[in-house]
Amino acid sequence: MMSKGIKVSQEQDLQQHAEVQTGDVEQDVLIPSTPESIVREDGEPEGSLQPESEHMTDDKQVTVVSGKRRIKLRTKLVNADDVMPKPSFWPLGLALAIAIILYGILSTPIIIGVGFVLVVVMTVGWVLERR
Amino acid sequence: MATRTVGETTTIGVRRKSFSETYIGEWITTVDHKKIGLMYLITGIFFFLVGGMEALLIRTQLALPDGKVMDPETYNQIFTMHGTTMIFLFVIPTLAGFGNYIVPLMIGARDMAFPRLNAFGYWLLLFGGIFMQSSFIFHAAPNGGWFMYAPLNETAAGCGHGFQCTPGMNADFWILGTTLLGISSIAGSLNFVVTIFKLRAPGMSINRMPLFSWMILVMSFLLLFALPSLTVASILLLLDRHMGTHFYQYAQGGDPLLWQHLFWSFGHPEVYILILPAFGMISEILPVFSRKPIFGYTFIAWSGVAIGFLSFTVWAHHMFAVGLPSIAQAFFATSTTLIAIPTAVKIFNWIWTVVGGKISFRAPMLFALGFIAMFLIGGLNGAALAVVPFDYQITDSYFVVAHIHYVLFGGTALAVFAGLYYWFPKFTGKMMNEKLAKWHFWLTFIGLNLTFFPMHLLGIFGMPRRVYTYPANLGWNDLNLMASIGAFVIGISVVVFLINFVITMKYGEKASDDPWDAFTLEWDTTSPPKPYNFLEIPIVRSRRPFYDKKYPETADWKSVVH
Repeated sequence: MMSKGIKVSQEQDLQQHAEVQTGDVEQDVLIPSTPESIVREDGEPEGSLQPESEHMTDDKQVTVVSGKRRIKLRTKLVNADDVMPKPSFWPLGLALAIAIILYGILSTPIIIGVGFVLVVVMTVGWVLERR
Repeated sequence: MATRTVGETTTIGVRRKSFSETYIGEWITTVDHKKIGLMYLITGIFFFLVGGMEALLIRTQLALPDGKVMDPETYNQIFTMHGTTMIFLFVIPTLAGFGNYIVPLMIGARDMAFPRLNAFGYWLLLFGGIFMQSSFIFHAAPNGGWFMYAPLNETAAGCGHGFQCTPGMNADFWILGTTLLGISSIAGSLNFVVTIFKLRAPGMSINRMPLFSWMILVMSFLLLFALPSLTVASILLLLDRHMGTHFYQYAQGGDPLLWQHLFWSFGHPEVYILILPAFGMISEILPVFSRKPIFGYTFIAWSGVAIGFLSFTVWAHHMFAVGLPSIAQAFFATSTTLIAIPTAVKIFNWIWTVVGGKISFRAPMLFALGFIAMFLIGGLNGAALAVVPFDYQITDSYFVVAHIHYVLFGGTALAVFAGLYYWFPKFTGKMMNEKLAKWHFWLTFIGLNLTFFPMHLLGIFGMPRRVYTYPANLGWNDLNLMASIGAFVIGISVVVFLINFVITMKYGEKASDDPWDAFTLEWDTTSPPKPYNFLEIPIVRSRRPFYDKKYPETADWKSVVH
């Protein structure tokens, strides 16, 4: 089965982008994205349902068998950095702020207040962080 | 966007490292499920050592009659923190660590569904643990048992009847700490449920999902439905202690049994929360080291679901001695007996997985087989506790201590070690020393039986749990000494494990990507895996997708329809 999904030129663009870097700098890692569309082909005779391909890099559209259905998955190459989540300080900060409130409950209301302010700051930071 | 590297030289000069690119910053700011999983595991094992030290203090105090190692108040704090630490800070984090690291890999996902929520859950756990343990610094460690029974946990003012109860911050540390840990567990559970439902690889139907992922899914639902009960109970208690309410105060029209009902309707599902992922790990390890597919996949998966449902119907078997109506006793005795059926189904299937296989007795397999034997004992003495007249005789005795330790140490802890030895090559790219691992197993196996088996007899001979010492003329001396010796044997086994860990990290043999010739997707990537897990998202056509890929001529999908 040959590619029917993403155009080859788009893939080449991505690869050229990766090759721009030189020297000690690591190259981009190109990975196939999570399948972006699923095309169901119902009504196939059950006996003829055999996968046509297992590979996703050579072909941008693959066929798998799910139950009695043949499913086509379309995907494309993307940069690993673009799909993987970015590091973030806010989860740690918010958890710390909540722990400070608990210490405040056991000691003095001032610490509870500090904790609440920190919770607000950390929550806003978390929400507004660019992903 | 280019991959950013440290100290990268560009045409406009040297770019400074961002905080998240330093070694410490990378771990502090990470949202990668594998790093978070490792942090959970390291934290869990650290608290295992803390809880283990507390256990050794308890056994030192009880080794001889009229022990004087510590005073009664210190003993109360130590046994309370031992139970709390082991349950909330060792077992749950360690299982969450395995789940975090392994589940996305197993189901062919690149990460958890909510990576930042995942990090948040971990940090809450760490701060919750620090919060709990810091109570020792304030000389106010919780001292009312890991179940904090009312009205013993009320302040002096609310206690009534002239009892001293629990003034000070001791119980407050427990209430607030467990609430924080509860939020952490809720965050983690939500993440597991969404990840498993939404991020499975193409072709991985729920019926093809690895059994460890199944059990993590059931565990997550149990946490989501059971934890609110504990949180409500804790908040009511906090109000009683500090705001003048009387939810648990009999003299003021409250009901002390309300605490027990609320606590155990969390506490008994909790026992299954602690054991179900262990079932999942064993269900992954046995087939690989027997060179056979798991026997009765569907029964194992759905018996886990059945256990999950039934676990919400058995809580009052902890309360037979409080004077429940006969009909309630009959109901809870029946439901408790009933839950033994799906549990037995699993044991039957594990045994038939091993029978007729080409068994390889490597360390993970030894721990897995040890798990089956020990959990069987824990299950049988648990079934005995479901018999009401028997329960009347041995309730609150050392028999119950024996039961819980056969389940949680003989069961869950052995499964945790089985999982550590099994997945360690994936985590680190190194093989643990097999000889030391076998020493670890046998010392643990001997030590745990030496420690916990005599406790059955101590319970039958009438030794109550939680007593800080005992007189010499009651016939308990030899059995207590034996249990204490066993505890130190377990301590030595843990030292052997730590030595093995250090040696392996320093000089360990390099592991291949698939050192066990395994069946599931986590082995179909590098050891340790890249941040994006798989270069290509695998396509699944059976319950053993990696086996299919390695052995296409005998692939499961050619002969078995799932």
